[in-house]
Amino acid sequence: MQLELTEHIVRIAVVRPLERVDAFTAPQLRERLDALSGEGTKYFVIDLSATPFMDSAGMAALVSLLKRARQAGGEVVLVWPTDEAARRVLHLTKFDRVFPMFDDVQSAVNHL
Amino acid sequence: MLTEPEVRLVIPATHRYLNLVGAVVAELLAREEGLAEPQIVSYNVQLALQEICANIVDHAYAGCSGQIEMVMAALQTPWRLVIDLSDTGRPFNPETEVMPDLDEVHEGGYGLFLARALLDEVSYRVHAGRNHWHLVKQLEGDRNAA
Repeated sequence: MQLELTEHIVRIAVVRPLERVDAFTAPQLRERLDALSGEGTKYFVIDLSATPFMDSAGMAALVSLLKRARQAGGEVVLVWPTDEAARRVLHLTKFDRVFPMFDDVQSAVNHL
Repeated sequence: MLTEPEVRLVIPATHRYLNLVGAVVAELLAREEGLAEPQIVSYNVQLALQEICANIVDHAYAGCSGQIEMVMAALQTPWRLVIDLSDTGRPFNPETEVMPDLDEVHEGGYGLFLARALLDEVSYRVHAGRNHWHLVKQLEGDRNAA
């Protein structure tokens, strides 16, 4: 039997902020995400499960990444924070409607 | 002005020091025994406060050096946390405040929205050449249970 085999390897970056993401640190996160985008990564899992705090500057960095990824045909998905207050903020701002949300990294990766 | 024991903090108006504001308010709230959902209240107040302070850094001072003065106290009747912020930057123009359309994705515009949503009162005035933000979070729980 003649077969033509083509493998597609999709690169997914799993980014897990371990510190506060606020107006001071968000530019560093944005810089790292921009670098990954610049290297051609289109699919991202942002794992917020170990992120102790995120303000609107951090949220802006995520939106920036989302726009860039989707323009390139990719996607950004989030893993829920474990902190209930942080979860409520994502719900309040309707980020949980803009970003596909998952309970763990494996489920998020499977979605992509 | 606050009439009960208060905590005062003056920070340079740069992003580097904003987490100090959150840390201080978290420690102040940790002393309020019997507070319901203390972690959620603390997170929400820290977030709201940092958003207001970030706005002062970004818009009132807009790259210029300055200070943010903060006076905070937990008052008893009714039980509430009151925070007064003041700065000498450019005045805030309320007409520039736009409620974000939450059905669309935006990179900005969430700061004041979050502060107003997470606190019970957010008011602004100019007095004696300074900008003043007055923030109030009502506290709930059973103070006698502690």
